[in-house]
Amino acid sequence: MRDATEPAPVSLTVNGRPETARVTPRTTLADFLRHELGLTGTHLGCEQGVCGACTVRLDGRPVRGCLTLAVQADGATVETVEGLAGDGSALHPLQEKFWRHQALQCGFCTPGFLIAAVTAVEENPGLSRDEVRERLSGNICRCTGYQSIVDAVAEYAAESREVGA
Amino acid sequence: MNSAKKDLTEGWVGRRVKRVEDPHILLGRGRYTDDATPTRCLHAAFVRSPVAHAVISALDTAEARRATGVVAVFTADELNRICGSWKGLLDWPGLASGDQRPLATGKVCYVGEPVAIVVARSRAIAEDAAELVSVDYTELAPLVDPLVALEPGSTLVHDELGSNLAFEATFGTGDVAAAFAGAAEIVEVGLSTARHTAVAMEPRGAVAEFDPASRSLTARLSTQAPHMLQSTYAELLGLRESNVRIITDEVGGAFGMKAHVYPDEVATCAASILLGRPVKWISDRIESLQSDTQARDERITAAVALAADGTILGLRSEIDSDGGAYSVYPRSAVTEGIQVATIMPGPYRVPAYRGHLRVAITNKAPLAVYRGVGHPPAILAMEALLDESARRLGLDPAEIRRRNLIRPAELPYTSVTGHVYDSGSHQESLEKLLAMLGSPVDGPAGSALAERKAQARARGRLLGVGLACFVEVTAPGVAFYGARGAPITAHDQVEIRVEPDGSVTVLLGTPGQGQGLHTTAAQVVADQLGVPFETISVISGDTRVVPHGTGVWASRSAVVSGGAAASAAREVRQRILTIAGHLLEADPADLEIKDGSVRVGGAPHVELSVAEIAEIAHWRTNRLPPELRIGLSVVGEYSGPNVTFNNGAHAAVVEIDEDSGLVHVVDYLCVEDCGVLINPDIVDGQIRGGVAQGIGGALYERLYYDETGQLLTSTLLDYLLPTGPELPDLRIAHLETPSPNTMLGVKGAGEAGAAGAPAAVHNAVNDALSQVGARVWHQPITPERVLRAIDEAAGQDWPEPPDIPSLPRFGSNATVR
Amino acid sequence: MKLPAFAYHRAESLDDVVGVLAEYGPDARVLGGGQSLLPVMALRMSAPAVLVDITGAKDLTGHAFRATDGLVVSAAVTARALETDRETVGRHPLIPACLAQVGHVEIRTRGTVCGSVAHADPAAEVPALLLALDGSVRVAGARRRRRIAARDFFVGPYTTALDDGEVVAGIELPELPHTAGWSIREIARRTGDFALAGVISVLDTDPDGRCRDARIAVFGVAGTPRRATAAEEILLGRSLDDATLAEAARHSFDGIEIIGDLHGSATYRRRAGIRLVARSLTEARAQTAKETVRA
Repeated sequence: MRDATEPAPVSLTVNGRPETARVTPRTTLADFLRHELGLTGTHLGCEQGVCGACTVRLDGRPVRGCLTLAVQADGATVETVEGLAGDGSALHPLQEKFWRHQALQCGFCTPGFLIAAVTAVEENPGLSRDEVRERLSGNICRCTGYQSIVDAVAEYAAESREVGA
Repeated sequence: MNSAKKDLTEGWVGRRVKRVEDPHILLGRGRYTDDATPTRCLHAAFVRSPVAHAVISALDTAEARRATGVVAVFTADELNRICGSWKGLLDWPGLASGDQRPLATGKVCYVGEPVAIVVARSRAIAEDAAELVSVDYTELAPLVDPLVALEPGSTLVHDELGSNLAFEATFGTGDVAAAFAGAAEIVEVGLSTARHTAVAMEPRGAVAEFDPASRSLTARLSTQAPHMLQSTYAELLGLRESNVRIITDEVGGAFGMKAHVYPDEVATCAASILLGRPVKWISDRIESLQSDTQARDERITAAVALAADGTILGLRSEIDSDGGAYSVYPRSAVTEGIQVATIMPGPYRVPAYRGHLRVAITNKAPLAVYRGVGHPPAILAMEALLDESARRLGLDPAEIRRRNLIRPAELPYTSVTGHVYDSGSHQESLEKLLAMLGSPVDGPAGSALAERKAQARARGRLLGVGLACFVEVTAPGVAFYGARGAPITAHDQVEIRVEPDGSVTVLLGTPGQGQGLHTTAAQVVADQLGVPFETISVISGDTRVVPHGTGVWASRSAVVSGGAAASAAREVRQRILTIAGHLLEADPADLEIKDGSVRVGGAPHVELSVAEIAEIAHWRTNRLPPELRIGLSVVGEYSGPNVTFNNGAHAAVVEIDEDSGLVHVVDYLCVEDCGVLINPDIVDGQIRGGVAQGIGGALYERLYYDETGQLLTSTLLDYLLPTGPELPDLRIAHLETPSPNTMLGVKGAGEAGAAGAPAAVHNAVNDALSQVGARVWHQPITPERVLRAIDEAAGQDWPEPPDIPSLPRFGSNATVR
Repeated sequence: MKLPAFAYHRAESLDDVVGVLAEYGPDARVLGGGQSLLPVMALRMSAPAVLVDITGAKDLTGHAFRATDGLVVSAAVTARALETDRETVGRHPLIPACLAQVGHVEIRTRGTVCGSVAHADPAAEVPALLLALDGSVRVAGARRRRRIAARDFFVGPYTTALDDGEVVAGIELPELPHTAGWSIREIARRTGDFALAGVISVLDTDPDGRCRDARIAVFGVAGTPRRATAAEEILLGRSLDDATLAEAARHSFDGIEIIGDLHGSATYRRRAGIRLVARSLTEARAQTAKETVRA
């Protein structure tokens, strides 16, 4: 039993690196990433699991960082927006598509969309535009009207299909 | 300045340049308010009022103060000692407001009003302790319906005002009575738009750092107007303005909502002053929905007088706006209502108009400006009137618009409310839209549209098409706010520095808020200075670093910041040419700068790079005569026009599921003319985002206050924002009629989408519903409202009372359903 | 808002779970996927002192088709895992069809099937599915294990027949005959929203085309998911012509007290719900016919 107020260590792999920090059970994975590890690319837009801005990958699958406890991620592998491109300044191919299609304006929702979309295309590179909309319906963007996000993800999916074929 | 367009479109202006803002945001390196935490930072949480209207009869913070990890709990008693009060009173005659303070003083006037601030080692601990603050509220009658609030004898939100009327005025000119007396047809509608809010994805927040030694305050905020806050915070907190530094890096959406002085942000700064330590407060989503400024809460009755051929003879409107509990500083609670009243005639020739506005004070969060400010309800009223008129007269909806839209020969045109439309393409934008739509809007039986409607019907769907033509106020001048006493001007400054290696730093007085201003400014500077786009770095959002700017609002930054950037670039260019002239022993008038090199006209082999010149100007000044102005750092400025109007037209095609009443937008088109396009991708993004918010307003978004003033939509599960599947791909076209009044021929572009979409969607819904004899008049157009309208048109009663607001009535303050 | 403080225990087994629940009593809550519990806690509407995380309990993982009980789903199985499970998709496609309607992918990735049952949101799909299939809930407590039929399990909004110290260990989702047709439909303002009205229909006909089984579960309209028993009775034994389906749909909310809220009044839910049931029955019937032909 982890005590409610006494921080205890949590160890996990984040973007390929082992990380350990001491947290209380109530610390969410999103807060852990942001405030313990300084990975502020994962954003909090509602803390109720609705907006999708905090979406990260936990053992390869997309989850809400605000509805996952850091202690639940003990021993797990986590990927955040900071890990998409790997080291260096080059963009991940999906980030390139977002840039090209201006799939972001204020950019606050963008990390969540990137993580959700990378996973979606990985699972199904055959996504149609409507399927992209449907699949990303758990992520809210207030700036773009989604069209350019769909453009970016659809093009990335199409190129993933070619690569896969 | 029509030549501006020709000069510029050959360069970077006009290109779909990828945004310079994006790579670091995409990599997760954007810096929003919560992304910086100073050393020894404390964290704040607020105790907020759970009731709409009450006297605070007791307030006990002792238990919270004793909690482990809590550093301080402040109430109005403490903060009022170091912080003044404010109210948004532009000097409109009669505008009234209660005083606002960082924390509720004596009474609370809306659910979510901050009552106490708890400062602790962590946010979670602060929230725990906030639950330990005990407040006794003696409840007063909550004022929720603005028409009830305005009734004589109503309970008062602010006793000292003696009334719940914040503002009343009449707008327009011409002989309206004669116009209506001589009309062949009079058509009247009563409708409403729902109270909604911006819902920027990044919530508001403040990270305040007070240095007691120098009595200086650094506040990191998510704001649209850093310099405005520098001035107001200095005044409120008794600090020297040069000792107040406002920082904003990335702003995660704002849409007008982050252009205000907020009690919680001021309280965070005040707490830092009292504690001498950094204090951070980040709004959570419940706080946002309860306390961000709200908008669009208007009830309108409007009537149009028509000649038999559909020509508009006169227009009148009664507008009741629900201003909420306080008039927000500095933009006030009445700007929206005034815009509703004055924008309503829109792009049409309306010879006589009278718009009567009342703004009520109620127990809701304050109403202020949100993208489109007043345009959506105004355009909705006008466009709904035109569609009803077309139905009454048997005219095509496009034809009645065509007959009344301003013609090119009539420009510049002064509207019946005094707006001057400097230029535009009012007829042409409609024609272009119709061509894109590809079928007559009101085709006769057997036409393509009638066929589409019949096919939809066979699928259980009612199909409808709606049009909306608009003009949009952009880049308004100082008359709008500054001349009325607010710390808001029309003037912007931009500093351009050519560094010794020839690279260029652009410091914008006005910050970005996500719409791509850094890119836009760099494009302008690249052209005006003659240097490669890639050599330009843009900085904004730190009042200690950048020159003065009045912020992002009213679609002004491309026009005014762009103009100021051009102005600075021209001066720097002149200095470079002067230096080059000396070095090349040529007349500067014979020199040109292109792609970062100065060339002598007619002697293409003689060339000196801007980098060489910059190096000499910084480090080899011995090669230059002492009288030469060699500083390559220049602050340019631009005051902008009085105002410039963009214009255009929207079309929405909707299908309504007859079984559920759900409305699906299946096609959407927009033609916009914002003058010279600096970056078409950025403008497209503005249109798409605006239309998405407009569709949100038309179909989904509503802040639902119950009869006790409780906000029932305080999470994003209940306050519905459109997501991807709810929105169609837009078809967008541009016309480019340069403004003769702006430096670059540019007009603003940020709000036209939000302005016209609610009307286009609403008209499409009513076009669809008219097939079964039904209409809806109130937004959001929920499935229930649609199904009810269909049932009632078929003679089926609906037992619940209708979920619609009371509407104002002409010539009387009495209310009607 | 941030979560209130709580102690956390990662249970190794079902016995471990019930042991902690017994020790801490009502102060302890079971944490599955947390997709319903954590938002409620973040709103500070619930502040348990102890959370017992069951997702690591070895004997609560997995799902399997059993001859008598149908598909048995253990407490730690996520909605997404079951939704994408090949065997389930092939053998009991109604289940993944329902799960695909639950929230969004990211929610289903952590949210558990049994957690939805225990949370008992009246607008949720899984409780309605359990009810439509006449399924059961496997309940474990410190002193006894028991099985509660779906029709007895959902007591009210967010209220179940679980006693203090009891946990949902699994659910049983009976299989459908190959001849049965099914449909899940809902009216939601947006993709992924809780339903304003939802219905799961299962119809089965005998070789003469007469209805031998009709199950209609409606959700999002009352305090719990409900079976439309009046409509089911109309259908049983009758041939499923349009008039019969329409008649059944008209009576689908008989005896059900419909609750309205800000997203839709009771009248809206009833009227739109009747039309939804009609569409759902038509859809289910179409599948029934297909299956009969194939058989």
